[in-house]
Amino acid sequence: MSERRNPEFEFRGLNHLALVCRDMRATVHFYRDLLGMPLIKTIDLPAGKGQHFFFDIGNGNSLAFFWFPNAPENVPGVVQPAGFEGGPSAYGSMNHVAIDIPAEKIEEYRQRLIDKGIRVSEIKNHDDSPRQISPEVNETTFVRSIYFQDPDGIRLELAGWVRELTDADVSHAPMDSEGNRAP
Amino acid sequence: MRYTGINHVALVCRDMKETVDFYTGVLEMKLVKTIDLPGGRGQHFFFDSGNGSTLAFFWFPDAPEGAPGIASMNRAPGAAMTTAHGSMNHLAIDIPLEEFEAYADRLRSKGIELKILNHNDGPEHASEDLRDSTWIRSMYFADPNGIWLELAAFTRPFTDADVAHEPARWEDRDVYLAQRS
Repeated sequence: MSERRNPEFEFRGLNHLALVCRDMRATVHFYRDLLGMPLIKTIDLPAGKGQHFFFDIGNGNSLAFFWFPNAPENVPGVVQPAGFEGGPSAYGSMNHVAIDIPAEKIEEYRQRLIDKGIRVSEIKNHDDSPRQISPEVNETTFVRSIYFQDPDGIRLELAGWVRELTDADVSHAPMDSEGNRAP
Repeated sequence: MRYTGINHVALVCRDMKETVDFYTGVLEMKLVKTIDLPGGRGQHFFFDSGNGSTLAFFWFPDAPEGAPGIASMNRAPGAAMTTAHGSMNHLAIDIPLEEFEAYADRLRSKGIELKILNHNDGPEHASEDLRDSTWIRSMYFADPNGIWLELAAFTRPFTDADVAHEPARWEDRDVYLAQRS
């Protein structure tokens, strides 16, 4: 990632990403015991409102899971992509979360997840080719990714940047809600 | 495994233009990568949120409507803060502790309505004022898609004493609900 200064606010990346789980014990097993993320903060919310547990994912960032005794059930396709292969989810939803890894470790980490019994996608090399994904790394590849799911179906990605982003990476006009290109 | 924080959080917007205006205009994040997805599947725009992390908004021509209280926080007065299993509840961006008041003033001057909370250890779980027991200072506001954002600063490092609770199971919810009322 290139260093680009924000003249307005000194943002230091994510402090925490607050997600919602169905069973905190299954979540602790997955993130701490399988993925190896240290559990660094636990909270019992007052008045029986539930729990809030923070897992360290490096670089000062954490995943902060809520467990609510009265949370609505999951709605795949709305709350998150409908299946393992991804896809749309609703306006205002989180579609997936990508955790940063050293790009040269991606093959090794993929095998380690498989050895732990986790279903993992093939390695996706995202690039600027017409299909935007190639089986091999080429000079336009900007990020290498693998995808899997947590116990609540949350779509997780491990991703490693392989080149700096430049001004040429910003070249599309944004779409409005009607599907028209903004000027 | 060596994790180096968030690479990107992929969120879904209703209108990419409105989203670009908010994240680059109000929050002054740089737009660092734009993608038109192949086969008319939509767009994917990345905003630099500092420290190597990005917010990566999808715009899908066929995305379901927003689902407040399920897929994002319901911000209606008196509504519960719960969202569904598997959802993102909110997203907190890290800021320097010493800039907390200045950033709150700057967002308010841009017309953003803020909710400020100091989260504390002990029975007084959260307060409007900063206390000795505060471990994180938070200001909350919504983006144009109804995503509940937070600017947050830790006041101290975590210690072993911060990890002190047994994780709840699905079956434990009646025990918790009985504490309410």
